[in-house]
Amino acid sequence: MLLLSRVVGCGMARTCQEVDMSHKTVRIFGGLDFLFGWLYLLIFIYAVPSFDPTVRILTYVGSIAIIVAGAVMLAGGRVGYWVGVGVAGFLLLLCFALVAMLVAAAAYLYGLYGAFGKGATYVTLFGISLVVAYIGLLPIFQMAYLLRREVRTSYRRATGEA
Amino acid sequence: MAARMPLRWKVTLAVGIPGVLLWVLWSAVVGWVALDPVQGIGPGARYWVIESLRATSEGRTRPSVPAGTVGRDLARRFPGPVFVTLYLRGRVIFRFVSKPRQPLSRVVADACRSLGADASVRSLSTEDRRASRFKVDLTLAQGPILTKPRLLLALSVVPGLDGIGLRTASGRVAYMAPDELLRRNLVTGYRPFKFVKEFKAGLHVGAVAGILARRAQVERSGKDALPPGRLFRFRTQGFVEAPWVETGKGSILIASGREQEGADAGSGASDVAIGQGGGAGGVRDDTASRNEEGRRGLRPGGRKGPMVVVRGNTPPPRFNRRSVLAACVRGGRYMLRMLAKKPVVLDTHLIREPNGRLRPYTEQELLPGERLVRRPSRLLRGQFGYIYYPLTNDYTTGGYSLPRHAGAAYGLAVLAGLLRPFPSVPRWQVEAFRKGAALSIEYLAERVRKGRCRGPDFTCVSFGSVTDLGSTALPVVAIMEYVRMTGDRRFLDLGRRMSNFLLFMQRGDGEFCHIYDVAHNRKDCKTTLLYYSGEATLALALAYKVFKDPRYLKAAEAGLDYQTGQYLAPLTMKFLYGEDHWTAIAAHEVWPFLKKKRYAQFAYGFADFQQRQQFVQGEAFDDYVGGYGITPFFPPHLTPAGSRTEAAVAAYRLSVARGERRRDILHQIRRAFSYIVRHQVRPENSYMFVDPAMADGAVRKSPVKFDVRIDYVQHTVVAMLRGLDLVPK
Repeated sequence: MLLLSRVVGCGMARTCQEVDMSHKTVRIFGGLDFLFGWLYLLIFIYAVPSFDPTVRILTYVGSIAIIVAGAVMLAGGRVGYWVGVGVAGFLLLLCFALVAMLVAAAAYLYGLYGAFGKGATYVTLFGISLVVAYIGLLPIFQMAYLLRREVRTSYRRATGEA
Repeated sequence: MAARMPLRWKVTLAVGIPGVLLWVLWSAVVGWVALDPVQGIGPGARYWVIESLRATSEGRTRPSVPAGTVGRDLARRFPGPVFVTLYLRGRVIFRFVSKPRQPLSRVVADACRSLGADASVRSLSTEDRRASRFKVDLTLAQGPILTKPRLLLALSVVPGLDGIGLRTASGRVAYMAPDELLRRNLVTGYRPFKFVKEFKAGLHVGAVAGILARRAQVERSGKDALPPGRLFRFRTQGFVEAPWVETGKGSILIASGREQEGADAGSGASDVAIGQGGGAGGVRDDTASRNEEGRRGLRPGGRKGPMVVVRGNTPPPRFNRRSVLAACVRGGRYMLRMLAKKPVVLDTHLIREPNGRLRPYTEQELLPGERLVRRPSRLLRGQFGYIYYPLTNDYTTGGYSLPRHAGAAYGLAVLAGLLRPFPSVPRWQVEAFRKGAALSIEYLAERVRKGRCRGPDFTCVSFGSVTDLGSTALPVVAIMEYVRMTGDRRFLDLGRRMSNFLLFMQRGDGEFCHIYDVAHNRKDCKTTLLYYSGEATLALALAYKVFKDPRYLKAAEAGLDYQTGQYLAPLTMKFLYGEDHWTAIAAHEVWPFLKKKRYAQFAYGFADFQQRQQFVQGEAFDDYVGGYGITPFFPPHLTPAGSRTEAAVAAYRLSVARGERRRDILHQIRRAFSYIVRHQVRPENSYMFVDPAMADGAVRKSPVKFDVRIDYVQHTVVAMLRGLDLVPK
């Protein structure tokens, strides 16, 4: 809630000029990334471990990378800012890729069977909603915030850029 | 630049660009995978093809290629091979696969040459020739499939419609036609969830890969590996030669001679052929074998035109009350055939897999490393052949279910009662159903006699030291219906004592205890099993109708109050229904003694819930219409079309009685009946079966699974009987 009020508040009032305030918000995003990274890791270890060793390793590496990125963002600074942009971009791309795979699989079955059926449509939509909720939502807010002009400016000022 | 862009533009772009990309992706994938089949050939050409093959097999001269539309069809080339198969009692005794893109007339000429040279075909007796049937599949389209992930590969072949092929790097091509996948039981062999052994959907990838690799003569890197090369699917137009029909009888000649009853009101054979047979017309007179027939005492006859085959099934009889009545009689006769009139030992088998696991003998052609093990099964007097496998003429009797046995007895009792008023059903047939019901109830009575279940004025059906509620509830249903339908009161005392057991098992809140420890006279009220509460409630409702004992009505009311009240309290039950068809039937049976609105609402709600899952015209494949399922990837099973429709009939009748006629439920019922009739085994659609006479009237598990458990037939037949007057004349 705190995070959302920060984002909405800045958006409405356009008063996020305070450098330390921007940095604090980025740290909050960093903390969330850190927590979500752990959440992904635990899910991939205990809830849905992949049967494929390569995929299993990739899920572990990806989760750990998000944890590390979160930690770097927590530390703050310009590097933390760019890491935040990078991890949000990566997660958004991943989210889009997973949605695209779901759509492609649905299209494939539709092409084969000539119909998709209500049940399969619901399952696909449910799958897409899960992917967006668990993977897409946080980076959307994170990216939207980090790319705000005020935030970028505050980081330039803090690091002495022109 | 982007920062100065208005917010609504940003949002439009953020949603629009991915949306467009996903739409392009969707279109590209659908365009890549969808088949664009060429048109199949017309009835005249189909007739010519089959007649050419039949003439060759009998040493007659093949017909010449006609001009006109038929000639044009025969000059056409198809994108893949043409498959010619000759079936004899479920075995493939001749198979010919043409090269792709050859004119059809040339393909048929080549097939005839090969057929003429085949010693096993030449040596067929007249009886065998009549029992044999040609099947032809023309490839209309080919298309790519994905090989990863495995789940998508398993779902890449539409069950029963598509074949699968392998093209190797050296250009060698191997095929498995749709029928082969069906009769080898390979269309539902994939386990998407390794931890749920029972759930199988999609192609048995490992087995198919092995067969294709052997045919294409390539090595695989491992047991589950795919063969090197490109897998593809193909769709065919299939048509099969009609079964042999004795002149003037309307029933097929059955080589085994097991079917003695001949054509009667129950035979729908003539319906099918007249209404749907190939357009080339009429019964073909087989003059060539007349002399031999005379010498051997065989009856003269012939065949009708070839029949189009979709998913191993021929066109259904025209849907009307007559065909539904015929389906009921056929189903009843199947149940009678499965009933042991005296103790018998069945010559049954199991397949031993390479890992030592045993599985039922469901298909004739075994995989490498598998072998057949003989395991004779004993059936007691009054027991049913529990599961029948028409593809092998084999049975499973293990896991024999007393509730399902009782359900079959109930089915026979209902047949005996509800068919009595129909003049087209002979008296001897009705009497046979009555005797069958009595015999199967006697088996239950014997179980009671031999069991140890004794209480103060109650008894129950038990096999061992522990029994369940359903094993007594459904026998009560069977006995009460037997008494009501036939007037025979010999089982009345047994029925009363068993009904008392249901009272004994009822809890104070109306719910029932589902398990009873006979040895220690102890109820287990914690374990909850499917079906049983509804069955017990229905049994008590019927017991009240027979005995007029108010205790039974009060107990039925308490049961219904619980099942339409407290049982529905959890949040999930506000959205879903369970296997509650017996409860809905009970809600109708207590009318007009109990007129609670919520009983009717429960029955309507159950019917509505099922209606949402029913395939309707234009939604998926035409032959799925009327079945209950959630996607076209899993062919809808037949049993729900029976059990849920029996509940729908009850709901509809309740709505009429309450002056709230639900026409949507009526249409739901008719759709389900047409689905059942379409898939019931008839002489026309049993060309892959070892003994078509034995399987006649059976209701298979699904359009692509041929095993027949006795309750599949019971549920579907009883549903159709209960709603017969709802079918248009």
